[in-house]
Amino acid sequence: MRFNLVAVSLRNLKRKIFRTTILILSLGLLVSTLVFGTSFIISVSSTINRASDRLGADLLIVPVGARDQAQEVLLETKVTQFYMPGEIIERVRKVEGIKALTYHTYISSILGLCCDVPEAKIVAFDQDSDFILKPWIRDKLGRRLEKGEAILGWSAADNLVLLEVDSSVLFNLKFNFVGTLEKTGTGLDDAIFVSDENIPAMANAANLDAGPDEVSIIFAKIKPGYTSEDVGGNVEESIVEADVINRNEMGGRIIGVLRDINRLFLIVVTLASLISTFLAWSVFSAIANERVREVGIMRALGAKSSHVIKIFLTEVFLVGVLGSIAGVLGGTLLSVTLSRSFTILRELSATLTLDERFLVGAIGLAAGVAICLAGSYSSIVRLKGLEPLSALKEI
Amino acid sequence: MALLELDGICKNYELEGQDIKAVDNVSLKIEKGDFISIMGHSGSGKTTLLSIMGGILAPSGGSMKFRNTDVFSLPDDGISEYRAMNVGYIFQFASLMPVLNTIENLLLPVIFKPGQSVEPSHEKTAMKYLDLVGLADKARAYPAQLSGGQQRRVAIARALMNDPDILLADEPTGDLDEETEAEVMGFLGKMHAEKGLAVVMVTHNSELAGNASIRIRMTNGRMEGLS
Repeated sequence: MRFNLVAVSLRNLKRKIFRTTILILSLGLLVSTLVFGTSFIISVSSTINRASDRLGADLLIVPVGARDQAQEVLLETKVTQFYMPGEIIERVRKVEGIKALTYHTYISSILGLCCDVPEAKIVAFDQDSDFILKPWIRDKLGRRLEKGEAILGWSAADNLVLLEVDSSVLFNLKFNFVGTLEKTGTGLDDAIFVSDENIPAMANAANLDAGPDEVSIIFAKIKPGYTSEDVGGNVEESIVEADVINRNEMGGRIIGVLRDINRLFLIVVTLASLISTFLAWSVFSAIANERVREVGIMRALGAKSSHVIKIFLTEVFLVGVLGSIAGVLGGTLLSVTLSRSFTILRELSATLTLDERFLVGAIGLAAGVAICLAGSYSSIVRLKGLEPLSALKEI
Repeated sequence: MALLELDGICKNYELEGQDIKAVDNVSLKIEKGDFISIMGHSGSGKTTLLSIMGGILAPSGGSMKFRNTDVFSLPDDGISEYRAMNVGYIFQFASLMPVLNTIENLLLPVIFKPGQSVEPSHEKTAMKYLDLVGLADKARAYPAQLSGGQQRRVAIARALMNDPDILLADEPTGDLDEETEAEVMGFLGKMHAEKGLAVVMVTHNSELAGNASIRIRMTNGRMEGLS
């Protein structure tokens, strides 16, 4: 490497390698905490947002008292049943402001293949009115789903692929698996989708919880110019047997818990950041004290104050970047390896997209470097103001 | 036009409420090729005057012109450039950077010179000076691996790296044994003779001062003798 200001900074960092390493590791630990916590919060909230966006409905109409169950089905991996009479669909359609409707009926089943096959939720949907699966089916299958055919959600397919099967018996009816949906990050990833034309046959063949005319959730789009709050209120007023979940209320229970976790996390990270800033301040102050005479020598040799600051800032920046990179890697590793051990993450199938991972990494990197810069600020100001001769005489 | 012209230079300090005149109305012209020694008791203002000449200490009064440019009217960066481009400074104490090896210590002033970065030619120059001071074999040694005399010789070689017009030496042989002192003085004399450098040397040693063509004595901040 050619000898320049950066080379001087590197030599300085190597001078007290143990101290430099401790500082980098301390910063790395803080950034790990930040990255892990941020990954946790963002993965939960963005998974909920993605899920509600994916559904594409403004309102979800569910049986009275089934709000939580509905959200468990749609957002989490839980399998649960709740039904309301199918005639509610027409009553909802008549409410002012409703533009389009479709509905799902959820049936739970233990697949009859082998003891290892997990419980799966079977979603029966109406192909004519559907606007939730339609884009996926159009792209993946390119035709209507026939009777006796099923499409697998991403995770359900994962489970069945392990068994190398292309069909299964559900409620004594054989279904051919004709496609796999893309990963959605919603609870529907665990589902097996069939057309609602199959419900009567399934009911004949086995004892279903759902009656032939019952549905679980009605998804509604509202007309332009109406608010989901107003239309939802009208639905609840006119149909006492139904509860309404607004799109922006989706995951409200989880988000409420998340808000508390977020607050706790913020307090922990703020305190850890302060401790790290103090640590950086004390280390960089010690470094600046050691350097005063050297600064005097460099100034006497012709260094401008900007040269001195560049050398010092490069050291600060290198420590910040190295510590932050270690922290981002550590935090990402933690968030990946520990994600399955948190119930909330497991049940939501919460994941971060690559973009989100980059964002979290960038936040960690920026925070680590900012802490180093903040901790070194007073030392930088001091070194910048040193007169050459007074620096030479100091110590 | 003088190389360096000091006119009525003063430097006052306040110590325990008393006004101390470290340098009192000193005027001096230094021409290219001059070899000047400054002698005087401790506290007589020798090092203060040298520091002012080197641009590392601003005077309280008077002016100092280098090739007709008033050095202390320049901004801080301008004074740094004056030091980097025109002055070689040899300190009275060990002044090598402990984290840099010998050749890197020599190259340090090069990276401070405006518009310049270290090129292979600078490394050749550094090796040439190390050879001149008899330390070519110590190019990769760190200061802690060098004796006091060797460190002093490296500092002298470093002072020459930017090809200065004036070399300021503050007791360059202060803590050296007789043999090393003779080596250092021989080298300074050689540089003065070969490169036509103006040399200003502060010393307590009248024998060393005898090497100079102009001898100045400082007493209580005033320049008393000029011979």
